[in-house]
Amino acid sequence: MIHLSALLLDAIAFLAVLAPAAIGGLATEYAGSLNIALEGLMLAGAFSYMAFGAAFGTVAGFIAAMLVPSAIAYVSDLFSRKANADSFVVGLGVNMLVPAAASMLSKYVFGSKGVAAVAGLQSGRPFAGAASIPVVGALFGQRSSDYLAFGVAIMVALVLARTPLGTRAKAAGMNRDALTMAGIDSGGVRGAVYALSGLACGISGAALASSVGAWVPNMSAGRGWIALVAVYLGGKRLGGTFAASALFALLLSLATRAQAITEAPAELLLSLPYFLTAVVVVLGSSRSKRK
Amino acid sequence: MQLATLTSIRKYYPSTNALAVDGADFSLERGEVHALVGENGAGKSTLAKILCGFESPDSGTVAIRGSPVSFSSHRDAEKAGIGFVPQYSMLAPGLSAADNVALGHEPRFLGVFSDRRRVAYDFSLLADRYGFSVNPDAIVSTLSASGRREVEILRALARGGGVLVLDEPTSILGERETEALFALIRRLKSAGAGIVYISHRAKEILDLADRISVMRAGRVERTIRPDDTDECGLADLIVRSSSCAAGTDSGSTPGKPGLTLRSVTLSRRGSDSLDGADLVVRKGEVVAVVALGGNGLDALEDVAAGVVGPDSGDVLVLGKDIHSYPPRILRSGVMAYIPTDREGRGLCAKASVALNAIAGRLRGYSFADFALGRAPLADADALLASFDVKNGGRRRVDTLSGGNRQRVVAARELDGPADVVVAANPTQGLDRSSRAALLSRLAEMRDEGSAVLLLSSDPEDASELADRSFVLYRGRLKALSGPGSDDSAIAAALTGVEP
Repeated sequence: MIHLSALLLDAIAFLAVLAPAAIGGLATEYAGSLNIALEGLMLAGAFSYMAFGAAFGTVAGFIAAMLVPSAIAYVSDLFSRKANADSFVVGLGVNMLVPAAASMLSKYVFGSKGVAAVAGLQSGRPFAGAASIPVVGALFGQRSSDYLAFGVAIMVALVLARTPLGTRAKAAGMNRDALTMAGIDSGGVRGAVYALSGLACGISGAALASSVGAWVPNMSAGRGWIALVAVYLGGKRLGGTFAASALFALLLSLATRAQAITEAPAELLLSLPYFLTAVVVVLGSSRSKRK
Repeated sequence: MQLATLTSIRKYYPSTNALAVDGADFSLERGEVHALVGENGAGKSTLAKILCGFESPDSGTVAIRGSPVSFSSHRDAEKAGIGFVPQYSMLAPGLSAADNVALGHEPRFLGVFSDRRRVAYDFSLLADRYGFSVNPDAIVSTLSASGRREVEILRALARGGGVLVLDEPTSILGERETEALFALIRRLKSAGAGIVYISHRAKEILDLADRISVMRAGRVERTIRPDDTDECGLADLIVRSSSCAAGTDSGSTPGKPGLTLRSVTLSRRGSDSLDGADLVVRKGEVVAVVALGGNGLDALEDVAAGVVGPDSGDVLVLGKDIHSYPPRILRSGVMAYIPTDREGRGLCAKASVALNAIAGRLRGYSFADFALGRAPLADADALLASFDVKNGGRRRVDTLSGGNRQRVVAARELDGPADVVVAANPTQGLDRSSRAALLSRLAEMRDEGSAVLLLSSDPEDASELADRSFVLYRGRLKALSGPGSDDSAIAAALTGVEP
């Protein structure tokens, strides 16, 4: 039997990783150029958190985890705009570059290419006392890094829905001429939104790394891609994207929990969310085609 | 006092190797409408873009109220009181009307957040002041063409309004909207504003303008008063010819049905739907369907060209279901199609002019022809010459002006014989002489036995060419009596007024 509150506890932790990245991806989709490097940027966030956290402490870790991916995203977008490169190809490049660079740097920073645990970088659970309340307790039992990630996700969502930058990003995606008429450089808007998406993915990665307290190569393990799918599955809307992220988070936590109670091989269970993601994508795209 | 003075303006576009403006002088006084006319590519739009801060001139000076300025974006021009109404929509379609007007100038609260109530309130104030009734929260894509134009005008008037530049503002408007626009222009003028009015339509210009400047090859050739000329004289000045008033008359008698629509219904497309449309276009006749935007003209185009299948009813080409033809067969010799969506459907924007011109006969060439031979280019040049497209060939088609793009489409589609011709807004963006050339080519094809379906939002196209005319209003077709329907009858039918 799977315990409901344990399941929710895990699901919310997964959501803390998925939601910021998905909303960051949505921001770039609004601006008309979906950032497909969410996976790579998430990994960059995780690595930056561990590397800077090991050297200068957790706070520096979190700050670096937001700034480094943000800079990577901004520069990659700048490159695709200035060199007129296809943003899709550039994004794929980032996804391939980050794991390679992290593996190389890992040797210098942690002294090994493999898993590197750093003491003191695992976030605590500040409200663990309230976690025993049935059902809603799951809301309180999270790590402080997860609350930080949700805070950033809410901030990015607010920027999109309630600030001039959000409106301009949408305008850039709909008709760049509308921005020209307003005397605004649409490239600058896109750059800002890309930086924002990098920041959001970075905090996702930091939440992931600080829940483990260690650097594990390729620890994002496809969660950036799932976040990307959540953007589409959510109909490219804020609420929808969040809801789709929550669905995927629930699936991930179900698969993790199910390992303990069934005879089914763990590999099969752990691949289930990805498999369901694929099914959802195919169904979703066939439905949108029929419209 | 002179509101705006442009002196010896020059502008060269390296990407197209074209000197768009070559030493043009232009001035605008308080309280005048100054019309800017000329052929496609004469430099009118470029000159307007320079005045509005979208482009900076290579040389020459722009002075506003006597003091020289140098705009780095349209925002600077707005600060100097210059508003611009573009020819093609420059609105964000998914945002609300009010958001579009506020874009770049959003009122804020707490320094960071958009003050959405204020945005809507400011918009309502503005709309009231100029007598417009657009809902501030309406999403632009749900507005009619004239509603969108109103939003564009409000955006131009929102900041300043001392100078208003309108680039072919009536090209998508019906008669009633045009009159409302003219009334507004006159009001602004009497309030002391200066208005630059770019148009191809001689009649409008004579109605409205205080001065008329004729541009040719990047220069302002002459500036005249409307009293110095008449409609024909002005048209001839624009294209430097004396061919005005050459009409087209019908020759042969209609034969077998070329294109038949039997109670065609297409819904689920909002206001753009068809409701039981019956239409027969026989070989050797031109049937025109006129409608204002959002009355089903796009739906009719899609159905007649076989792009979309109807929900119910039949579309027959030469008596056979249109979908029984493989597209390649349909499009080679059976049906010529000039789409309204020129950039999306009519052209491959990133391919060269030549390839676009011969797109219909690419299978006729071997690999060697393309690699080594000159045949494709030579054929393209021959095709393009029929519609007088200059410096064509290897240039990318999206470097051409709108009028020239339209000529490329026309040159390709109207080259050979075709049983059926579907021409949707074929004269969009064309100047007077190319428009006349296109209409006479359509008449020629009719006389050679084509069934021509002309879909247009411009009643003038219909009245010049059509043997029979229909009006489409809210998805229903209504026949107009005979070719000689007068303008007011058409206007009444277009807007749904019962006789």
